[in-house]
Amino acid sequence: MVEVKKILFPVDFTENSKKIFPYVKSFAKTFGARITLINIVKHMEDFAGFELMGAERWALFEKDSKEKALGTLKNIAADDFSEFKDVDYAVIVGDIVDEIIDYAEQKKIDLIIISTHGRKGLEKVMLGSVAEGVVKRASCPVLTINPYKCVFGVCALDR
Amino acid sequence: MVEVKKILFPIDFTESAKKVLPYVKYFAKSFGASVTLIHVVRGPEEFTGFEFGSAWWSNFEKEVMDGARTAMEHFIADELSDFKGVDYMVLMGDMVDEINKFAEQKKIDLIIMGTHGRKGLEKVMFGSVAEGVVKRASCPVLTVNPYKVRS
Repeated sequence: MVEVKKILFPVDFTENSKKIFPYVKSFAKTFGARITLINIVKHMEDFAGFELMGAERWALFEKDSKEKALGTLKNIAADDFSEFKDVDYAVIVGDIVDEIIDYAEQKKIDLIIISTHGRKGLEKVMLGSVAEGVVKRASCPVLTINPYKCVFGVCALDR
Repeated sequence: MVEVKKILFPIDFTESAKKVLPYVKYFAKSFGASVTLIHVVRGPEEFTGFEFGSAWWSNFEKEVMDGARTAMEHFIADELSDFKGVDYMVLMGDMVDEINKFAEQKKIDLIIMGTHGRKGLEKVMFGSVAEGVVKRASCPVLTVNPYKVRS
């Protein structure tokens, strides 16, 4: 029996992921599903490929980023998803795709909703590498939404 | 509120389509959406890269299209008899182009498809059709990995 009771929504704090909010809300309401917002803070190696700043300062930076991300997710849950009683949120440090996939498996997520385009410039014309990685590796179904083509349920150019 | 009233389900008549089907039904029921199945028959240039005689080809084309329509009707009768408001379309051409074009023309709200399809290597890799549809679709696309579906 197919059911969607847990929705995972990776958020990168861009306008693009904001455009996906209405979809997440509609899908959660329709299925009566619980929403988890997740943000991945990139690991040191992803920034430089070598050790940066010294481990101590890095640990501080990481801790700071994590706290800020948690605060931002908390605000999004309170402001943008106020009509939902229990919105979970999590911040994880690591590789974006790996962590999303791991989290979804651990928490037995039924559906991941993700923007096809995220933070990076070139991705405006290409499929985002994060969305691509998630779609390719996820065990659960993935709903991809193109933020440049779908806004508030109005998709395609001719509508 | 975002509405999903029209679902498009591309199928290739493999087991993979059957595994994705429970999701199509669940989404259609939950949203009260209609379901359109689509099958795209590859055009002549994709088979050979050169031209057959046009008489030969038009015969072959008719046969393939008729066969696909029959297969569709069987699929719907076998798998979707409990479902009202199902229709189908058989087209010829490039799969990704035709699926996305059709979705735009018919103002489809959601495409649901398997990530892995007919071809051998695609059993282990992400299907090129699903990838192309996700990359270029104007509407949201739900991809389901048929080898990982929980039953």
